[in-house]
Amino acid sequence: MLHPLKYNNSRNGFTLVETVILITLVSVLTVFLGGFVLTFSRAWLSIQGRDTAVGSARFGMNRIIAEIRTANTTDGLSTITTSECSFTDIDGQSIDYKQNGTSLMRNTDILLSNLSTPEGLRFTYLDALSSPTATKKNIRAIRVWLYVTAGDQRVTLESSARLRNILQ
Amino acid sequence: MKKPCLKNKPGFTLIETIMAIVIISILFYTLIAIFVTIIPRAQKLESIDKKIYLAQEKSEELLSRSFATIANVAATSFSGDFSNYYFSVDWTYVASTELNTAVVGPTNFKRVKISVWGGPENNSPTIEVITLVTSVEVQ
Repeated sequence: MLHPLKYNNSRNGFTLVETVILITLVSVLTVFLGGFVLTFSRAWLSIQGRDTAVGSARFGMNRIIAEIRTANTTDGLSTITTSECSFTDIDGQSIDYKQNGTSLMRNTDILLSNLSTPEGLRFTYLDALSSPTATKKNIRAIRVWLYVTAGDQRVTLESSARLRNILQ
Repeated sequence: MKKPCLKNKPGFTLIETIMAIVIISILFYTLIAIFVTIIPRAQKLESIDKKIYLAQEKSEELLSRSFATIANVAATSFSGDFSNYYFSVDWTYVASTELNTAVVGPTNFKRVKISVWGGPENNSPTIEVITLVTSVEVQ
């Protein structure tokens, strides 16, 4: 049978003092490294959140811009407010963009479900000199803002679409 | 059953153990140092993305203007969330035969360059969009 005391007497192992020093060293290192790991895992999550938000915002923006470009003449614009834009495209199809809660709505479809509230979508209507206008027949371009949230991150994109099909 | 003979196996000395810890720490530190570089890169990419959209905005708005009203714009900041982004517009007359070379003019073609820069990451590149505007009427 093994006798535990036999091994404790061995000169090759650590002494009590050595063990205490080691435990202290390892503990201090663990606390530091643990702090680093924690910080960087948070940073990583935050990067991922932003990445998702940027991706969503790009998707939404590309869709809105692409469709506004196809709007059929200035008279085809029906609702022009800062929060809603509806128009008829060159194929005669009615398209309506607005925000409903955290959802970006295209007609009755939900394109994105992570818009910021209360303002996640904004339109400004510009005339031929890029000044804001409320007169439908003067509108030449529409500026769009999208505010998208992912976790505690908020991403804003801003772009414009020129109306291609205006008959002057 | 054969008894394990632990007595004859030499353990680590304190010095050896500390050396091992130091080496592991250096390796770990290197790993973290590599990881840290990801954060500014992600910011840089996001700022490039935003600048592409802002450049598109300016180019769409310029193209909706009439030929005569297209003018140079000195460095101007965007508003709201993008107040740390800037744009400028530079145009030159070009001849229909060579659209990349500036001529004295006047001609019916303006080559318009829109530059967008700035953002939180200073080393992020300037985005340039070049487009052509013409006063030629299509019948």
